[in-house]
Amino acid sequence: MSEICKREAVPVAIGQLTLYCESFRASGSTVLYEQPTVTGSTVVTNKCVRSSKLVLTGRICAGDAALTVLTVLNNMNGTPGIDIVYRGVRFAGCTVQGYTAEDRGDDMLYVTLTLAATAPAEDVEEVDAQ
Amino acid sequence: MLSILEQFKEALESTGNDEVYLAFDALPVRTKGKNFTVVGIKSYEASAPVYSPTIVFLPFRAEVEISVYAPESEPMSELYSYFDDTVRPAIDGISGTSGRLCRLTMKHDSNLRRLVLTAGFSVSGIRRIERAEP
Repeated sequence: MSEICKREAVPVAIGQLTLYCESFRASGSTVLYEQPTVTGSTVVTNKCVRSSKLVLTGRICAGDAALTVLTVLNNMNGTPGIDIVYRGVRFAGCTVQGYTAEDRGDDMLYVTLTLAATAPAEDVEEVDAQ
Repeated sequence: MLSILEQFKEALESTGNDEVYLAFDALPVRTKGKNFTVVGIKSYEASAPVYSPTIVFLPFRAEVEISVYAPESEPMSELYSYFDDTVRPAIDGISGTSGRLCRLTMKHDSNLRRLVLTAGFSVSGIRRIERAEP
């Protein structure tokens, strides 16, 4: 059975801005602190879980009005404590780490927003059921 | 292949298009109406399968052709209007982040003596094959 994909852009509320995401990327990493032993082998003495980086990409189509979004994005840059929900997964306490807004001359604004999330991701349905 | 075409046929019928046929139904043209729509696949490309314990997922990309036929004497503007009224709403309903209208061409089919408006629709999806044992 072949099923065709019919997905629409996902609305994500980020503070006062709702971005319809066409692409989403989450990445995480852990830094390991390694020390040598007297025998020359390696031992991990500590670790540090880095914040997850969330990259949301979407387009805003409203002609010149789209440029007003630039002000919102600019003011949001560096803002902490933002909760976002992407397809039922909640990332709480995110900090806006950066953004790009590109006007390519076709009445659309190509927006990429980068957030840093320190709290673990939560399944919204599971949390609400508790 | 058939299930992809059936999904398009279903979408077209849901927007009030009664005369929808699959490209290989072998029905004579004279049995079809004044204006009718034919759905076929122009190209199909599968990518590497993704495995789970019980199902093999085969992602694919395809280009589906939706051709609207009209009598050759009909003005082109009427065919465009017919397309906008009966086919376009279905196409808009299926369009999304991974499927969209990629071309629209008008030509004269001298064999059938019909005007043909063909819409190419680029679509992606997943074919699922169940398997008994991992």
